[in-house]
Amino acid sequence: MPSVSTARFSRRGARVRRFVATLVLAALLWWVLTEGQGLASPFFWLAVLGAAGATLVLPLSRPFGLRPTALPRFAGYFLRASVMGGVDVARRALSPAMPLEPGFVRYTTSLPHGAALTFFMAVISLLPGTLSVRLQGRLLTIHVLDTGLPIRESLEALESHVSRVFVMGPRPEDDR
Amino acid sequence: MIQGMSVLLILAGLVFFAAGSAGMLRFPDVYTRLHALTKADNLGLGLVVLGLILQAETAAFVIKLLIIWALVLVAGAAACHLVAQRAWSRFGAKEER
Amino acid sequence: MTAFLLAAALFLLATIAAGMVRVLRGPSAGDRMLAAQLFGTTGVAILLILAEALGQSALVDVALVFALLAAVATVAFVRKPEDPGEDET
Repeated sequence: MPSVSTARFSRRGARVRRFVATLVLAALLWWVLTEGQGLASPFFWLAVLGAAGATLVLPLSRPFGLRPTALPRFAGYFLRASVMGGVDVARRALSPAMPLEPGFVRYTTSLPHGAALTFFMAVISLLPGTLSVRLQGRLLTIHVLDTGLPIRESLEALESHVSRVFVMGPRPEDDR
Repeated sequence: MIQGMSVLLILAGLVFFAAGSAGMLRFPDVYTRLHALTKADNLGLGLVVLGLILQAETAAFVIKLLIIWALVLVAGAAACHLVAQRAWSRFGAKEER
Repeated sequence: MTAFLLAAALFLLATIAAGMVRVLRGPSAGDRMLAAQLFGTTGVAILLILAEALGQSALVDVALVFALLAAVATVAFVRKPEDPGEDET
């Protein structure tokens, strides 16, 4: 929640931004899904304005921002890591010896609750050998395919990548 | 040339789908099977999508394929976490057999 | 090309069938829930390949719906009220 003093102004701004962003995204989505047809049909306007209008009624979520400049680097990191994750598990599944050393690892994250942490947990499951199982407070329980791998290092690397992509505002107001 | 690349990418994708199913059959417990299914199948789908993109004719179709892949990634990560969490809440670290 | 794509789709169908052995055998409810994801991911791949092979681009939209529903299916499985005996064997 934004602090009380600036709430009225920042909320209005947030709503307008969200309305415009949804309008643009919905129009793009329509264009993609119809493969470039039907942009003149009344249904296009009905759907796009309906989607954007809905954001005026729905409550605002906890604010977070994305750093567009950090996205390409994250995309590169994510693609490389998910290819490695797939290759790693495929190698283990297909090799006759089936090398597995499964176990659980606990990891305390410094990311604040909200979009960034949700994103962190989702990406963990796509990285080589790790699978997010449970979150209690900031303590994550992670299942690993091979306890011999440098799990902690790769989690720290992912965490710093995530914190570069998400703009985390001043936290005290967030947490109350 | 492009056709050849496309065939190679799709073939590579098939290998990962096969590995995912092999893992599902061979891995010892539900957590390890989740690893196999999520990671191998997502990479397999990514390669198949790339292979099909090479044959795509319009930009909108390319984006549509990428959206489908992204949706499967998000759905896979969420589903994987939900199943793992449920297994943990009933059985904990003990292997679920 | 069409023959190759059809063969690829058939191969993917075989990997679903192999995965289904685990779903049928279980032994735990968690293993059976993997079915939703198996059909979600591999099913989407089959539909996309068939769309290209048969020239039916509507199948791509079916794949899109599959991708969306796979997540909902898993949530429904996990949130299902406990019923006794689902973890027997």
